[in-house]
Amino acid sequence: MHTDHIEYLLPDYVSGKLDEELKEAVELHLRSCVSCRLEADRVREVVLFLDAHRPNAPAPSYFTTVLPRLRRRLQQKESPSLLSRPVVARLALPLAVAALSIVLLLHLPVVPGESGSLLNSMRVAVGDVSADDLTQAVMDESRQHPFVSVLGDHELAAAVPDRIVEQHLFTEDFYSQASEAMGPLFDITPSQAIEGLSDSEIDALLQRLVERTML
Amino acid sequence: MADRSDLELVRLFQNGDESAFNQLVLRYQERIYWVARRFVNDHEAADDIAQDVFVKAYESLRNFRSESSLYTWLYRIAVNTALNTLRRQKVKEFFRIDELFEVEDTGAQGPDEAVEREENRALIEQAIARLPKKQRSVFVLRFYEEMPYEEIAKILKTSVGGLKANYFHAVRKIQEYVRHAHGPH
Repeated sequence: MHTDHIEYLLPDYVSGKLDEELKEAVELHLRSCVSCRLEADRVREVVLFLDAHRPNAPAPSYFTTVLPRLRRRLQQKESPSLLSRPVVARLALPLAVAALSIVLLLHLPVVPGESGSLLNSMRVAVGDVSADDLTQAVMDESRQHPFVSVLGDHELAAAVPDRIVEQHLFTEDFYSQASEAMGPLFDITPSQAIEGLSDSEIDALLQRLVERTML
Repeated sequence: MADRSDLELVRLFQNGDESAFNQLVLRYQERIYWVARRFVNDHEAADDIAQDVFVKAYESLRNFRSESSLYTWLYRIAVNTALNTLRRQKVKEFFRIDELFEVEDTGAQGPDEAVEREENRALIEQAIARLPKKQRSVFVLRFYEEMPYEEIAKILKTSVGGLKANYFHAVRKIQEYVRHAHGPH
């Protein structure tokens, strides 16, 4: 038997998954081949390590919850809300994050007061900027500065780079207003926005990220 | 209902019996959860994948033609959904948005042994995550699910030849990653 083939059998051999005939063939070879014996030792070592660190099982009650939750989800799918429609989910939040970030990055003045003034300021500020350029600007900025983890209770704040926060260019009131202005419009989280992307969109996004980062 | 075969349950569901689908979920939920968990190594993510798998199954089962077994068909959906989830996780990690919603429990408050165990699990998770897609799928299905290569070939829609090599290379890459992380002894 060729040595290459013996190597490929080693994981099954050390796990006891080979039939008798193959097991004997492997053992016969190992008796006369030092390099394959060493290889077998390495494979055995990692298999034992993997076996010793299998993930913990979920709580016993978990499996009683799967079907009821699935049924609820199937029911909800039959009557989706406007905001859960794919096109809205795909475009709304990324654009909102981009717009908010651009406003912050450009240090545009925001006039508090009238309801919706923040949103109007953003609309004016980004009115002539394409969605691609907005996304590009946010990505460029994010490469240079790590995102903040928590800036309050609204997930949109996560898009604000540390540098802006450290310089105290905006007060907590600003974030509060931003959240109020943006929140009701986009009743989904960034995670949900990514979930809403199609496979080809994910591929395209990954491709762009790989081009720009060490992802 | 529990003693019906998969195919009988599928036929019942195709004829409008919703309870037949419930029975299929109860029959396969644990296996689908675990195959997902092997890929993502995170309970919440595995739960999401399992739910997605059954939603997709529900939507497609009316057109199921029994060209493969239901078991193979469900596993194929599970593997593809898990791989898609991992791709999406890569995007999310870039934007670090999950930090707002998830606090990872590393067991850091426990005794040293428990901490080390969690660290080793995380190491394995990282090693598996770095495997190429096909090697990762073969590794999960062979090592954790202990499937025959013939079954793995059906699920991955590939030939049996090469699967053993894929499995071996996956194991070796994990071994090298773990050894490198633990440093020379």
